[in-house]
Amino acid sequence: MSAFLAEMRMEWRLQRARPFVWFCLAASFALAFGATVENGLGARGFSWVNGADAIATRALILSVLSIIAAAGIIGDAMGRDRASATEETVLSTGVQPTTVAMARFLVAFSITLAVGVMFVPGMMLGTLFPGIPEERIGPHELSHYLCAFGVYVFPNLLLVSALIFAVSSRFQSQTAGFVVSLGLIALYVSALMSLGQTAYRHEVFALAALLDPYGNIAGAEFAMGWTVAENNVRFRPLDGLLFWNRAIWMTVALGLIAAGTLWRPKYLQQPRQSKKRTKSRGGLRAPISIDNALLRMTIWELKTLWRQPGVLLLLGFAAISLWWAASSAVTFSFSLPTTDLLVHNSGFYFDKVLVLLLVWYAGDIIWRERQHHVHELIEATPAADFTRLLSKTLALVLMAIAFWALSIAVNVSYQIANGFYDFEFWLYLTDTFLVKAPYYVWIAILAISAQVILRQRYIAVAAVLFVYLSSTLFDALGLYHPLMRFGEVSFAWYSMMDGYGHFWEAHLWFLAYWTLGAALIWTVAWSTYGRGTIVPLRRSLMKQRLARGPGKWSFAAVSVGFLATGGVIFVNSTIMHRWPLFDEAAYLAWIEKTYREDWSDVAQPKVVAISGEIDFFPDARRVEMDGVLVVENRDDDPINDLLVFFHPLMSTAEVALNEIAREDTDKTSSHVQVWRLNQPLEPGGRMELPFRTVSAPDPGFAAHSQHDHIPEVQSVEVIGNGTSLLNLNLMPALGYSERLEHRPAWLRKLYGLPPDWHPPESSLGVDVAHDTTHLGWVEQVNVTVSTIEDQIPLHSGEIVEDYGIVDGRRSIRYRLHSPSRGWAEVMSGRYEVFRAAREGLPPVELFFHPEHDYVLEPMSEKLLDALDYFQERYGTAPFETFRMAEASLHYEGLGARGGLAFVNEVLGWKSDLERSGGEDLRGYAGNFMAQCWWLDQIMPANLPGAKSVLTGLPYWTAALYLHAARGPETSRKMRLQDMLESFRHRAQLDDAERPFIEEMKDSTMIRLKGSLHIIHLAELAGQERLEAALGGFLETWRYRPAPYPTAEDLFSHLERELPAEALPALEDFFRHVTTWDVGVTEAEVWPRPDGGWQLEAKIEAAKHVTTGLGEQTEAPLTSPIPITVFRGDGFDEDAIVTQEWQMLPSGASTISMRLDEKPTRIGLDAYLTLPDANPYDNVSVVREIDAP
Amino acid sequence: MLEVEGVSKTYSGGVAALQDIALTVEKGVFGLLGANGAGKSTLMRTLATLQEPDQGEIRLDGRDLLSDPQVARRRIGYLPQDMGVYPRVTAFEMLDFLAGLKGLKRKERRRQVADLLEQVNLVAVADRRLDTYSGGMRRRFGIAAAFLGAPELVIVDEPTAGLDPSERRRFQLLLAEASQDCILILSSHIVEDLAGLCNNLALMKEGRIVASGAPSTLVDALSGKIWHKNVSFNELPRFQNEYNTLSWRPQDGSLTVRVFSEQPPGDAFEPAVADLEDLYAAHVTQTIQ
Repeated sequence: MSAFLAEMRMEWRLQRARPFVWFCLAASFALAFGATVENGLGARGFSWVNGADAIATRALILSVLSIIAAAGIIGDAMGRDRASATEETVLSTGVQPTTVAMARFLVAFSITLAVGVMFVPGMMLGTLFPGIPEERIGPHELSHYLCAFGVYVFPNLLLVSALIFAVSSRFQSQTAGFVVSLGLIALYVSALMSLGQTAYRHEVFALAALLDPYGNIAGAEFAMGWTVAENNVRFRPLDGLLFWNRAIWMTVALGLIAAGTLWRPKYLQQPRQSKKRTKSRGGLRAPISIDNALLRMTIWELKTLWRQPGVLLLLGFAAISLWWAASSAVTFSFSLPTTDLLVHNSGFYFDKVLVLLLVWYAGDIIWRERQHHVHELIEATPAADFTRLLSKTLALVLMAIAFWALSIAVNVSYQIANGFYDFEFWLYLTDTFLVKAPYYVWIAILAISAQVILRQRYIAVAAVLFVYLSSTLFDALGLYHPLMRFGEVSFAWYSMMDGYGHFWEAHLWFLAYWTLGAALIWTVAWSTYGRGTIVPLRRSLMKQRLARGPGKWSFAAVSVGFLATGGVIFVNSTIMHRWPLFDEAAYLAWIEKTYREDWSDVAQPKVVAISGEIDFFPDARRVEMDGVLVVENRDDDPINDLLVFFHPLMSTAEVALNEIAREDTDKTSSHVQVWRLNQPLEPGGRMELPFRTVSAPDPGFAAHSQHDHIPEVQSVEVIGNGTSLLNLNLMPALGYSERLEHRPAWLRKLYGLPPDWHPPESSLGVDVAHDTTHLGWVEQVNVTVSTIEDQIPLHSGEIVEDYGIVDGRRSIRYRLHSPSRGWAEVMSGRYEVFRAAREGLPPVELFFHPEHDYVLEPMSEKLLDALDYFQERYGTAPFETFRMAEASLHYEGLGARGGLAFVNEVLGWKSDLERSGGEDLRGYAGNFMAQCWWLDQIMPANLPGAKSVLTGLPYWTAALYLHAARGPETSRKMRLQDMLESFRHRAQLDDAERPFIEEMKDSTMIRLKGSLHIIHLAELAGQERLEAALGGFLETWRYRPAPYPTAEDLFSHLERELPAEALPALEDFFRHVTTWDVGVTEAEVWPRPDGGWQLEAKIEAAKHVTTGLGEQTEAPLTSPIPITVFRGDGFDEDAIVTQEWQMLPSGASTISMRLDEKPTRIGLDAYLTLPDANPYDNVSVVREIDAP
Repeated sequence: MLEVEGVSKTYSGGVAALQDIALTVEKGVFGLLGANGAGKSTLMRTLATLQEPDQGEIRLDGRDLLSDPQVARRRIGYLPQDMGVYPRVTAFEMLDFLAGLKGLKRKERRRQVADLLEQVNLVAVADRRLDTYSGGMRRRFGIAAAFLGAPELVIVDEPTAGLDPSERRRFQLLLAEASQDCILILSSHIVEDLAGLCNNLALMKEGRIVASGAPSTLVDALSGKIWHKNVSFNELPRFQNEYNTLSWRPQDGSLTVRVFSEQPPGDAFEPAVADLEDLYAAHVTQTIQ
């Protein structure tokens, strides 16, 4: 016992004296603190930064990262004797190796646990950081921290520690422990990869959940159906797969501890003495030739770094996470693994750890010689201080670069593994070495320099970490200019269509600025890098080096260069260009504060005709519009004043009203103008509003910070190739609109607005068009679009005349269907055109980047299929030609207006048909057609529920199309993904979820969850009947002037048209936020004496209604649920034995069925039409038993 | 009494480190002499039960040491050739720790540590970190560590390597004092270290014992066969070619060459008194088998 205690005492004594241990404790605290602050300042919504989910996430991440601490602490305890040459001394005392192993493990594991537990004070203190909105901070629930500790931190650290203990105990090597612990990460990533991301493979879920050594996958099972509010207060229970996962891995851990205890050698390991082996080891080559001193010394330093276990471990991490990033990238978009896509997603999940590594090893590389008492030996050599410091710096820099060079190797390997050989090496090199790696290079230089200048290893580490984390502090203070944030460069975003475009200029200037800045710091460091430690000598050394000889000129040149580039950036980004950058959210808040009170009830004329010319100048990133709006007073009273809004980023924004009105300059700004009409505009009267707008970038360039929440490309900005703009942004808008107001309470508070937002009242809103409040049905849209000669100008609608190329410009005149919503997509790009036609349908034209011709044929087929379906169901197409054009990545997502769809370059154009089966293309096609039919033909009233009509109907009818086109099996499979996606989004909502009848904002819930509801309704009422009802609604309201339709109108219409048994489901669909939890717990079948089969199944069914900020309560089941019995495998129609719709009681119940044939499976809502967070238990295998 | 019989050890790389070693060692200091790589350290580690021999037996006072190394180690003190220390630990802490590992109770532990620190003259610096100790201080500390728990067998591997002459003499004295009641096996390739200290010694070469016995007895075998002569530096190659040259030592600006010869070699060589170094050299150079 005394030996055991002696060993424990010494272990504690040694570990607490290790800077590494304190570094780990501090780093763990800092990571939790930093993440909490970053979350609090960066994320929006009402999720608590210290809520149960945040605590679980933080604990989980830190317990994964603690692998480094565990390897360093446990590995040191086990490998120390060999490393410090005390192995013989300790062994010869006669102490039992098991005693040594166990005593050391207990102490080292306790310290590792302490590192893991640092997330608690880190998170708690993080919540005190100024600037975090109070609604983002919940009460500190000790029980959540304890649960996080018990469920994640303790088991995960025990497992990692046990593995490292066993391996390093067996091999007496810290390195062995490091390397083997990588296996856990590999296992975790493999488990994640086996599940997929967007295409979730639930069939392997249980296996993946059990294989995941960290319990993350299993834990996610519970939180799937939880709202944000529930995630704030509920901790994932230790139940189900999570329980088994923890039990299995804890057992493994205990086994490893036992093994590690027994494996500790009783004898010295036999040294390997094979001459052959000794020769092949290729040790460090000590002699340094002075002739190529820098090269040889750099290689030496690099080799010593390379042999650090931490570097090897992190390289392993890097390779795994890069592969995972590549896999995620293509999974998300079903795309071929093209270089641009992989480069775009390429990144480490542990960039903070890489920084920590660089900072740590900077100290190591500077102090190593002194630590090992060889500094005098080295300092006695004639190698120049310059060469010595440069070699160390280069070694660390090369190590940082190596991580990014690895990204190229991994991505290319991924492409080869997937049979894709179109490598773009130039893009790889540019992105890696000019965009991603420089920051780490600068951090490496700063870290080395800090060690030299500050001359105290841990103060230098702390100083560099402070600089690294200072970006969070700058965010809190609202200081976003990258000039003052070390290593930050203005964003350079690569687009396939536009390359790095206009971002490149600012990026290169910042690249030069920070490179010179790093060089300057390094020069100062070099000037103080001497031999010996006496301070006065340092001063004279510095004076001597910086004031004389080449050092003087180098220092002067670097200083001048740094200041000059900083000056150029400052002038370009803050004097020539607007600074601060345009913050749309702040601007909107200003609009509300300034104009709401006076103008919200003032009637304004509506636009009834648009004409003009839009001219693109892509090289100058400029677009001009000269046009005329015809407006009409549709109110009962005369209109005296006009409130004219322009997009605030327009460099020219003029209306020519001087003849008929005077500008009220007291109430105006350059982009919001108030005009007093000389003669009131009488009811029914019309007037022309000539205008001119120009959108051109400010001179100089924009300097974007990483966290400034400002889009890098604003909605009126033109880029070199692939511009896609909404025409309404180029034109003036009349009148105040609540559409501009912020709605979530937290956002309103953030900008000093009253927290409660109230929707428009019905008396006003019913005559106002939702989303386009200043437009009515527009009678005429007639616009000429021109651009440079090698691009094609596109605009929604039909071509009236193609003027060809005149004076180096190509012009086409377009006209929108009459009447129209007045909105149109306006595009310009270097396109090739693919055309397809089918009898009886409008033709389809695809405008694509010449290199993106992978899937044009299937894409056009899918478009024609969808067109055919919609024309048959909902009447003639509202366009003569359907066009679809590729847009740059800088314009988000996709959409269709007036027969022109824009699709950004990462969606569909390079679809991997082998993986997607073309279903992504079919999905886009269905949605485009639905948008054309609904968005362009129905104008909803600006009242609560407007989004159900405006956004909901297009998505829901697209869902009905896809349900019919895909067949039951594929449809079910795709619906499962939509189901999971909608619940994932639900868990991240930043505002209260409202019933569709009240919803006024576009949301994933309307799109995806609504699509599930509509399929359920279609199954219940019959798809043809439902589509006929929807077609009737469209027919009733198509192009109908105010009063416009509301969600209540839609509800009433469906209530009239659908059978009575579907009405409760309709209620659930529209009037409540409803989710279900149904499933089959057990099913048995046995032969009946009459030759048939008796089936009995235990089922559970529940319905929940969500109110407020996510409170869920159970509600009675009011609608029948389908029970489907299957034969064989699959979900096609011929697999169905029978299907019945039954009213079920809430909770558990048993159903019995008499069947003619033996079934294989039974499902409750087997086709997944009810929003259910756990859809996997809906179908159960039927077990055959003897007749009871 | 320590008895070693037929001990052999071959490393995994095929190097035969020990070949059929047989020794009997009584109380007092026993020296192991041999060139680097002769197998001394392997034998020492094997005696210390830190390595298992491939074959052979080792008994201490009739009790087998190899059957239960843990028990045997309580009776053994060991000072390895490359003794390391933990970082940032004082001499007192380290000794107290090792005593704890030896199973000594607190009171006994404190007493022994204090006594040993006194014996090795480290009391004044007992609270200093070991990594600040000089080489000599570290070796003295090692002796203290080896004698913890009053071992019956103390094995000291190359104890004087790197020490200055005065340190070496103090160290030899320390060992001589400490070995009064135990068997102390001392290995070295420095002949002087063993010459006056050992009651008996064994000479090792290529994993074998090539000679053993009392130093004087072993040296007597060379009596009348050692010759010496002063030569110039230029002449050395010729003498090396023509005679069984054992050693050459600089003396007063020239070289004194010592050769082995059964008969007077002529060439103005004069008879010399044989010493242990001649014996060592004769075996190392295979002048005698």
